[in-house]
Amino acid sequence: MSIAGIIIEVQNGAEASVLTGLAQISQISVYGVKENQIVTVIEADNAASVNDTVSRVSLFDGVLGVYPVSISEDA
Amino acid sequence: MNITRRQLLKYSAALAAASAIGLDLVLPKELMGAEADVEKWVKGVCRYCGAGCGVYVGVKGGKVVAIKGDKDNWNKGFLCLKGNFLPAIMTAPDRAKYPLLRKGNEFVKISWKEAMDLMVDKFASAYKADPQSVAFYGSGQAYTEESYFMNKVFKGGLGTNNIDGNPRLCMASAAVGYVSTFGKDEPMGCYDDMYHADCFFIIGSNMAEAHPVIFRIVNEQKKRGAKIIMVDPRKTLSARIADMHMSFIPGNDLAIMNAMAHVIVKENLYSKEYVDKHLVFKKVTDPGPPPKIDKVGWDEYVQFLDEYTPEAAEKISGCPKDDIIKAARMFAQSKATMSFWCMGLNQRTRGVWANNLMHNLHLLTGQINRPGATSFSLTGQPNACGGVRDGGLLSHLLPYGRLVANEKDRGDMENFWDLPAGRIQPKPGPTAVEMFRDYGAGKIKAMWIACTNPGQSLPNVDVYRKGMEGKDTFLVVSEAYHPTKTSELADLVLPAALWVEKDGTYGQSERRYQYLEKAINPPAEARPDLDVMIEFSNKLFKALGREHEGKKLFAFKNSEDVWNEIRQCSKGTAYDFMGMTRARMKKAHGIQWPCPTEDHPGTLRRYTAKHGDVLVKKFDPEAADVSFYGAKADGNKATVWLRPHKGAAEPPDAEYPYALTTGRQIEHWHTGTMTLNVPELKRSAPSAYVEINQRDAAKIGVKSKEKVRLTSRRGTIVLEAKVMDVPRDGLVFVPMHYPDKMINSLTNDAFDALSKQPEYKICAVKIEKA
Repeated sequence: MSIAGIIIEVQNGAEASVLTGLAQISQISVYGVKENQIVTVIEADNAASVNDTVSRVSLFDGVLGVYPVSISEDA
Repeated sequence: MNITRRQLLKYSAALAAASAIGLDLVLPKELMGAEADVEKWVKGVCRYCGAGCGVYVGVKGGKVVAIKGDKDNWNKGFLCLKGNFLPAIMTAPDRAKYPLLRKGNEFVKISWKEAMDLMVDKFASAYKADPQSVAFYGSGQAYTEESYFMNKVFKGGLGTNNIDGNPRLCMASAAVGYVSTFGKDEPMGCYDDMYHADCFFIIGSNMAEAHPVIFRIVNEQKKRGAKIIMVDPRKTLSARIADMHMSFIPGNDLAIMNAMAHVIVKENLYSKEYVDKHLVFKKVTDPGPPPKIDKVGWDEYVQFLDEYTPEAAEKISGCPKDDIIKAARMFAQSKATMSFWCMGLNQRTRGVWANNLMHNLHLLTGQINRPGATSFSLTGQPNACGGVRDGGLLSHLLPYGRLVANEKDRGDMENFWDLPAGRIQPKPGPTAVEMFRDYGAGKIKAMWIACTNPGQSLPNVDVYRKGMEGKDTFLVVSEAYHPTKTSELADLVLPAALWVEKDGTYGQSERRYQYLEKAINPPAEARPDLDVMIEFSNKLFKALGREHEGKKLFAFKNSEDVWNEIRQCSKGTAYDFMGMTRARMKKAHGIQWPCPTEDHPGTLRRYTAKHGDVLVKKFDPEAADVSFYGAKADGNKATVWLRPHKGAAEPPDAEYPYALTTGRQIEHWHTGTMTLNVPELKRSAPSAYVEINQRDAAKIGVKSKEKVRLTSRRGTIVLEAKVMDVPRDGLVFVPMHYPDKMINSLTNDAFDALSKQPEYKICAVKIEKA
């Protein structure tokens, strides 16, 4: 199991729509929002799957960037 | 605790991300120990960086079981990820518990008496043969009382300046920068300035990872409209939230800062009133030694800046000229600009020059001496400022702004310590790198290293490690952990009490001194370093036939006795701690010097009478408000230095085409002896890697997680590649924390001629697929 702390940077005014989109992805938990940046944690089977989720989120409308801050493996 | 490991990891990940953008996310009580599980809370300071966050340590059954931020301190209760996991460092399996003596390739347990007798014998024999053959290497993590005491032993008692500390590796350029520009060391401003600033100029610092709690406040101000300019060749987590990120070819930021000054002058953005009232201009006309320094006029300074057009700076640095112009305007025209920098400026062969140029921008624009406008050097260790810079532990210093090379200062300290005239030597001793060279060459025969890990942290470390293995020399290492990359080379390891296992004082980046109360006993036979130092010094002087002198010089029973002498030693100086009694320090959430009387609240901002520095009137009675009273010889004026652009000592070339830089990750601190002992942090960041951008990775033909070999002129290392859009083209980054992958085998030990601080931040490497 891989667990990653991720910052998602969004355009002005896009927070609500991005949060709605994130709510559809079961691996993602949202911990807070600050200045167009959303603090999330991704839980996935492995690091490759984290990357897949990151790629998926980065394609959302209004997302400027997805930045992993930490990744750990829960054996 | 009703929390699963998975929940813990999720929260760790969230906290790391939240800290990076300054989001207030506090760990739930059940994660770190609920208050109900704690018998008492003991006031202290975080053990890690120079931010100096106030903490309360939760104790139960003689163990540290919890930690929480001090809501009444400057950090308002916030701690970073590392700080939140501090309890785990106390119970690590590799805590040093007994004195250990090397026997061949093994260490054997011995008694404290045996250890002390051997150490005294070795130091006494070496000293009798040559008083300059003994040395002490200290630390910005030791308590103020410990550093002051050892300074007194070596410079005062033994009459040798063979005493230096690891702040030479991280802060020396900042210290010399402050002294050469303002007359005295240490920032004049404070963390409170962040709440008044509307422009932050951050250069050579990844605050989001290295100083997350300070960066939280910067972010808070950004939310209120403040702008952030980030100057860094990596697009770090800090740079990602900046309004403007100025990337540049590593080592070429001096050109950028001179070009910003050029724009400020040409566009008339400088403060003529401030320039006329408070500044002198100087240049070095002959580097010497000794250097010849001339005062020059405004016109010559303007002429000096002529060549640093934004276009010229772009050619040198690769930073777009329009960015330089925009940054200069933002810096000058904001209501209040606060700058931050750290190792990116300091760990350079032109570190002092870079510091001077940073100060120049504040002085020219008058962005100084008022709330929110200040030049602020961040500090890497919790007591580099307090114990080493202020306390004068470095080989050229004496306590509280005095210099060994200054006859009056030596006389003052000889009087204060009641020493015979001429005891303190006028020639500065060897600095960190020089000291380890001397040890390797056998010039220093007996050396004591306390509370630091130079076997991993020195640049070009393999050379010095070989020296530390010396056959006819004697190396003592006081450490809380064993083995470390230094203790494994020792002849004698002394187990040290760690953090709140002893009491003492830390002084952090904004001149705030804070008392750390003892919370628990050290494990097994580990002892507070100060107790060991006092016992050793008395026994050494007895062995030298100077027992009576030793008893007089070292008549301290505890750290409070030492603190009281420190207060007296600072009395009347520009530091002045007289009002910081131990009783007051126990109650306060830190006090900022100068604090000359017991009813004085401490000083937020120095050099301005209007904003509360009472020493302005003492040292410069005629001053209406601003006075740089440490610079008496210059009429209490600050100096704008004409410092030309100069790049790194070892820039990339055809054979070694990449620049290597090193630094911190948010999870770890320094050489990892503490943080790599915290399972949660180690799981999050388990090993070293090399960060390469996508374009360079394609050229090398490497993908993430593949192995690459990095080679410099000094060493080679194989690391996993992490391909990411963080470093600029031609730059690679490796974290500094990992003992099994010591990046300092590759770094350059060339150092700044003025500060003697090595250039960790830039060296040339080649990269191949491994």
